Amino acid sequence: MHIASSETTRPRYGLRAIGLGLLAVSIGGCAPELDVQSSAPPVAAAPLQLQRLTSSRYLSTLHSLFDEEGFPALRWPTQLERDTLLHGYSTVGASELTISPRAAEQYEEAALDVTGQVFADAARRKAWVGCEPMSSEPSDDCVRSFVQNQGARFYRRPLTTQEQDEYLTLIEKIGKALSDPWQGLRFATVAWLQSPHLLYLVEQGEPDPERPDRLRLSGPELATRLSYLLWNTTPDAELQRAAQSGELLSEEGLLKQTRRLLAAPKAEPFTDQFFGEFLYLDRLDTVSKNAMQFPEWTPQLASAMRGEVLRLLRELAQSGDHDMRELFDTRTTFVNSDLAGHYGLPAELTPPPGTWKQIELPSTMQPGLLGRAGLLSLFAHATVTSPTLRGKFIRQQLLCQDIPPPPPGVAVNLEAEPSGTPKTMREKLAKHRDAPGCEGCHRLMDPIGLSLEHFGPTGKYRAEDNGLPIDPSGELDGQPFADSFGLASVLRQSPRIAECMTRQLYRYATAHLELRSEQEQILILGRKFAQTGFRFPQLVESLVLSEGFRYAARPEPSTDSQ
Amino acid sequence: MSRIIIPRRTFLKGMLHGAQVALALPLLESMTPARAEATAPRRFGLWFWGNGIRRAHWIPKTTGAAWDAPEELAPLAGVRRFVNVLTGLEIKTATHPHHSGMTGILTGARYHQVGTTRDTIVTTCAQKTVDQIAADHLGQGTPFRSLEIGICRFRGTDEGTTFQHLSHNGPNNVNPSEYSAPALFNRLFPKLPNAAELSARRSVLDAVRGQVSRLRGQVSALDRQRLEQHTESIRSIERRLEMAAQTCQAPARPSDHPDVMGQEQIEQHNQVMSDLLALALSCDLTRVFSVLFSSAGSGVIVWQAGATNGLHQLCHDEPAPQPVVHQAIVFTMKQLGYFLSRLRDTPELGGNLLDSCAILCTTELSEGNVHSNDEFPILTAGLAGGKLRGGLHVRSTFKGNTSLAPMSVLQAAGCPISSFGYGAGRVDEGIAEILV
Repeated sequence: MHIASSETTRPRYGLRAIGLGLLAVSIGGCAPELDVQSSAPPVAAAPLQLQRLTSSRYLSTLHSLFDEEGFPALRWPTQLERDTLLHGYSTVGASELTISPRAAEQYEEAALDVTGQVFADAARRKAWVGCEPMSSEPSDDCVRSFVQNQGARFYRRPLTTQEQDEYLTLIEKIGKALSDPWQGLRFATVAWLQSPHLLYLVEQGEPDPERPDRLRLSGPELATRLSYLLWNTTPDAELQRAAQSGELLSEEGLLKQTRRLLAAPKAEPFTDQFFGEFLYLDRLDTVSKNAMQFPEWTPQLASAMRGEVLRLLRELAQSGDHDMRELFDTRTTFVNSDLAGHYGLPAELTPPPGTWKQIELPSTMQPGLLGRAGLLSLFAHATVTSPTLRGKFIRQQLLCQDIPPPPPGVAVNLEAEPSGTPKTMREKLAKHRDAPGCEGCHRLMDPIGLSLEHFGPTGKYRAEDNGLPIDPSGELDGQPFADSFGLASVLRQSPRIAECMTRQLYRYATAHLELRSEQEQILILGRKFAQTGFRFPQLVESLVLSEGFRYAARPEPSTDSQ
Repeated sequence: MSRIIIPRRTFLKGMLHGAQVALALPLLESMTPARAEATAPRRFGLWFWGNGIRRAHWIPKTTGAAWDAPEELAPLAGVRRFVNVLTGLEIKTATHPHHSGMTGILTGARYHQVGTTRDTIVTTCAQKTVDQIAADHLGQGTPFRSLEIGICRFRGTDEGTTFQHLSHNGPNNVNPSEYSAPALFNRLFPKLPNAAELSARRSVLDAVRGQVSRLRGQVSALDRQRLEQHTESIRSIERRLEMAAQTCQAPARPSDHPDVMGQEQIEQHNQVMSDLLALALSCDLTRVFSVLFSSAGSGVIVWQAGATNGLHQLCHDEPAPQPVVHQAIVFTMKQLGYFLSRLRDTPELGGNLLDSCAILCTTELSEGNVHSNDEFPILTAGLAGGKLRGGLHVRSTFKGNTSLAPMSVLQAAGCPISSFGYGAGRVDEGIAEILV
């Protein structure tokens, strides 16, 4: 079967019995939280899965392979399959989904288009190929060096002799048929761009000399994993060198390369991609607000909101100077003129149009993530706020506590509001916090989100809700707070925050939903993250060095005769 | 008039044992295709919308051919004689409203859960969806084995492929829908390559396919299946290159309709995509299609209905009797009506395209606010070259299996299948009342 488990293995949600092998991260049927089981299974990495390049990794790879200084920018493919996110991450989806007929077409189109542009320009093709072929013959020096050198860039490892021969044959056949050796080279490139060795991170592992019960990734495999994680693209020459020399297989060698990659500006797409998916920021472009109520809501503003949170995360995550828990109380943020206007910031904190400015927010304003308009807008409706969605986001994404969906057969809609008697959102949601069948889950979400009621559906501060005063008090797992500042402080102190961020990064980096066998490892990584002062680069380093990133379970003996 | 919906075999048994009073419906002239010669190919279609219906306004109160059209079916008046309304059926494999409904109606099977260490449900179809079963039988001789089209922008969740896609070849093996009109146009009417380039592309695809095959021997059993699909996907390009001669006059290149004042131009987009699809069928570029009008649990904002929130959320939040949800369904049926009338208005061999189509039109649950999987909303459209009756409301009196509907539409389209679905979702016969 294709999928690890089926529906039938899972207890029906909502009525789930407590203690049925529940993990520390789950809420089960919204039962009280459980303690971590002390009898955790031994650490074991997951088996290998073929991971497709996500669309952004595919595009970055094209840039890495074809960008050439001194030549005009190429026209990049715009028709690529949209990533299917699973468990929140494009990488997890990429480990599960197939290459559909449509996707195969799109890869072919992209390969023809990009190589067409490169090879149509005589100077450019010569610069890119690095020599001039005299013929299409396999004996041609230029053809041979091309296959060997460029091929290794596409395959992210040296080609075997057999693989080289395959491309030499292809070049000869097509070069002769089209009476143009350059066309032979071009179509070899078209083939590389559609090769499974480019489109997937092909990982087979090799026996781990220290532990025969598991596989370790080979040097080039580890280099590829590392490069796509930290640079979102194919390994550079230095990383390939370290892979070939065996350096990467030692902890010191791996750490050295990890630090080099993390410190480079090319690591920006890593934090953007990871936090963009972790915090749902990529979904801001599908958010709509009621134009009558919120004429300020434009695609530009939504994009600026995303940009603000990404810039804040880059600042906190990349330098290594910050405790990641500052996410909840930092006064630092980044605004452009649209956002400054949206927040109602004074002129001295407003940058000229078209530029961004790092600022310190006034102390009256909500600091950190909880006050950022992007998050507040994402988890709100088009006309009204949604304390439920805001609470759910905090539970599910920041605390890693999943909330089951409403049970079937329960009418979930709220009663009509009698005209003439306005109610606050807190009053309207009272039914969900009290009604049997609803209250178990809503009490886990709504009291968190209700503390953010001073922020309207586009994240703007508001003094009143529906003309009535707002009660921003709330509660999280028995800890009451008076307002959103109190919520921020409770979250900052919650030990779950570090563990959850670790878990989220683990999912993104290893491209699968963690198995039970990996739970203990994640908890250990989370504790180490806390011990190193919640520094994000330290978290990345320990994750990269962990068993889950460098090793794999041996595949189960296959009963498949193929 | 018959008020029951029963499998054909049961129908016969019922007659034999005399236990049930089942009347065969009269063959009214309006129910048979008008076309003189029945040589047009039969086509299979799937038209899907998310979030269900409002029972009070969608289910006709009378059955048979003289059913009243409630407000939410009124937009189909113009194509009524091609449409059957099937009510009273339920998903027999239901454990979760959206997910079970989706996989139940499309595959007749339970969903597969992807990953078990979270409490949130992420699922995919365990089996191939009804359109891909049709493609196995009808998709071989045309340039496209099947075509997948999306209308409303995806505004859903990441709860798995069941929430994001429609057409599946198997678990996490999807045929994503094309949402862009220019991209669909380019796909249907590509520039023809010159002979030399064509042969080079063939050589490359052949080489790549060989690489995928060799890689299959080096990966896990799971990944081997994924690579089999990859091989099949490359083959589909190769097949098309073999059929390279263009048989159809390309229309003017369409454009997309960007939002106006933040409002999605659903109606215009539906029109241009429906027109392209009708043309693709008329040109025999494919005989199998699926239209994902909106995804399961879609958050589409039907502002035309006065909605300011996503539809899924509205189903949750809007106080009864949910007038905006109701109008959103009326709007959705109007879009379906446009597509069907487009097929009806495309002449073919003395008849029209809708005469030759067998289209299953459905959603993933009954009513959005109670998330129910009984009283499942199903329409069939098209006369399948005379194999399907039309113009009927057939209501199951014994909570029949929803799988009866896809089974019937597949059979009508000419797929020689002997069953549809798995386990409790399996049926072995189609619906006697609508099959000719």
